[in-house]
Amino acid sequence: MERRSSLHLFVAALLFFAGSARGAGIQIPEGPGSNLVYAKCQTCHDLQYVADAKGLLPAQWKAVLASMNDYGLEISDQEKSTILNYLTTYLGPNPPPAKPEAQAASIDGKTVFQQSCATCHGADGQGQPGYFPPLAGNPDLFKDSLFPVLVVLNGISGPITVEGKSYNGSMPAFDHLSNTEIAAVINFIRDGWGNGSKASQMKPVAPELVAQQRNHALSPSEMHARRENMESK
Amino acid sequence: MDSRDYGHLNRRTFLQVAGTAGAAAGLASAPGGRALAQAAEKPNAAEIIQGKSPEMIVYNAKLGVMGTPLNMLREHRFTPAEILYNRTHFPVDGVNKWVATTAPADRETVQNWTILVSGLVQRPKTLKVADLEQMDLVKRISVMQCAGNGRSYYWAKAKTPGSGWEHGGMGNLSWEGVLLKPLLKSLDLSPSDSVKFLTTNGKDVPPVKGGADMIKSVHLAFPQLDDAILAVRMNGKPIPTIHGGPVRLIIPGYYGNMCVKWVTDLMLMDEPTPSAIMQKTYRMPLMQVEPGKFTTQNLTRENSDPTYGFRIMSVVFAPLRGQTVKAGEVELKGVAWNDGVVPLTQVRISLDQGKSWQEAEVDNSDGPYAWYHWQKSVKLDPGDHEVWVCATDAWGRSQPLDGLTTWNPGGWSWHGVDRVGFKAA
Ligand code: HEC
Ligand code: HEC
Repeated sequence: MERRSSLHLFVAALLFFAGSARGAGIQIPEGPGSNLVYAKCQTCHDLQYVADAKGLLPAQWKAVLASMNDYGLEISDQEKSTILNYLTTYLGPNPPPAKPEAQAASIDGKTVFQQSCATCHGADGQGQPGYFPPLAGNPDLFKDSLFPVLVVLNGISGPITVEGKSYNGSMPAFDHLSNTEIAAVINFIRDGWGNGSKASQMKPVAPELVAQQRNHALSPSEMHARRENMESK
Repeated sequence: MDSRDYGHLNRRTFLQVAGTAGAAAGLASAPGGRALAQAAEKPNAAEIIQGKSPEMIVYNAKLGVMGTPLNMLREHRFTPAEILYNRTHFPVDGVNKWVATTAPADRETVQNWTILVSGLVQRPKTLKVADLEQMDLVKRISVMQCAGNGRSYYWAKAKTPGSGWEHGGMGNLSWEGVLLKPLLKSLDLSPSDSVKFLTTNGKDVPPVKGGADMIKSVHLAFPQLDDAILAVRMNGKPIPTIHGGPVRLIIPGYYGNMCVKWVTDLMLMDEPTPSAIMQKTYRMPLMQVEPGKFTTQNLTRENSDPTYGFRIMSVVFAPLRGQTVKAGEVELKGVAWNDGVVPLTQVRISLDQGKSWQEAEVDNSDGPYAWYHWQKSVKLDPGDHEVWVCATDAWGRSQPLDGLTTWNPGGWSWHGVDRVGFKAA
């Protein structure tokens, strides 16, 4: 009995710790366009707004996107129609199709970057001063072979300094991306925008490496510690 | 509603929870906590806003939006900061991280905080919050309520976007501050004759460049503005930062979105702000509208009103929905409120789906803007019961028996008769 209750306490303590460990991590049903929603709709609020609005009629979803536009969302017409199509199909009043259509297209890092990262880090990885750190010319991509993978899997938040400029933002986890997509996008950012010379000294990330890291979620403070350690290396 | 299922227990979370249990059962294999730190993904309220009760219902973690469970709300005459609902419009991380606490602003912040009073005036002035604190403070006991409070009840007719508030998006608070109109007058601004609106901006900033700011305009001529204060204290203490400290505009009887937090600018204007958060959202259509035919994008200045004053409303605090009480003498209790322009005159309850009504006793000792507490003792046989409650004010304004008749595309200003099912045994 005694032992049992201390075990309970132990589990409770772990669960408490776990609670503080993760970000909001709201998931939406997978389907064509869901990645674009993860990429475009988490800058100003998390996806609970989107998940909670399940059941809206098509005209209402259209109006929601128009409102987001009024609030400052910037997306192309093409992206808008992909997102609208996704929202009305997967979060409309009718049940979504049983299985998402298999994605036949091969995965390339540039497309993943444009869809999932460019909103914040800029089409050319230049970032946005004060809001989003640059990826172009960012030495942090090369200090530790795993670090960028961990950022994509766990997100990162809190005060950081990149190339002498400070940021104090919050990047959500992009763990809804597949291992292949994550590997491809990391290899792409390491190669792109004149980063290439450093990349040649680094082994390309393989999907298996991403798969291994997926099982070890890191809390924001653990991510921070990881980054600091790397900094001082 | 299954709409909140996503994110609560998705496939990944499930695997992680299972992993945690497994590891805990075989203690020896626990690898220093790391692999175990993977269970509940959704942070609780106390982790999002320092000082909040972990029991709060979280509606948007990134924005720090959270509501109060009724069993906690009903325990207090003045809602304590740790359980008071919160609605912020921009992420409480990054540049706005400083607001994510119930602690008051520190001395230095208060000393340096200024408010620019400008607009269509000949002599703009700057006010210091530290000076406000030294002036004559008046007290306002007032309900604070999100304009989305009760939104989830509209969903019985058709889904609307926005958080699924039940009744926990409100509280009853005691504010202290400087009376707004005499203060403006004392500044000798020399405003233009065309001034009709007060436009207020706060220190919070949108999370992206060019994003719509949280700016609000109110008619200076509306009666509640005569009672408005620039508040520096809540429930007898400096205002908790998350609730707008060190200085918040309090217009008693007005929905929370009009009571701008962290005031940095007061502008006397001839027109309301064009900001999207004023013109595109927080608006009620003036006519009855149908889902899908009329959307938030159809709202205009001509066909809708901003959510200014509260619609008259009453809520049952006891029994709680689904509760079992002892048969026999049963005490029904709750609160009621309106926009404070005229007194609330009557609260009636029905135990037969509105066929007959009985008047409840009402205590309004906290003034026109506060919760009116109502109660009624009834004799109940064992079995299932449903209590309805309906308030009326001196202008004859009352609540619709069917709240769905005010369905609107943003899901604002729910004020339907509260219907609470419970059991006597
Ligand atoms: C530039 C900032 C921004 C971006 C980017 C953004 N939103 Fe919003 N969103 C807002 C604001 C501001 C609100 C409404 C104000 C509030 O309630 O806080 C909101 C609210 C919502 C709501 C709740 C109800 C409503 O209409 O007020 C939904 C649903 C929503 N957003 C969906 C989305 C989707 C889908 C995307 C991606 C395509 C998105 N948002 C991207 C700013 C943004
Ligand atoms: C919603 C906006 C957003 C999106 C989308 C986004 N990021 Fe980020 N990212 C950030 C922010 C903000 C930071 C800095 C966080 C901080 O201040 O702690 C960051 C930091 C990073 C860092 C760490 C930089 C450093 O020097 O430590 C990397 C690497 C990164 N992001 C890669 C990516 C990749 C790859 C993607 C696409 C899969 C992506 N980001 C998508 C906002 C975003």
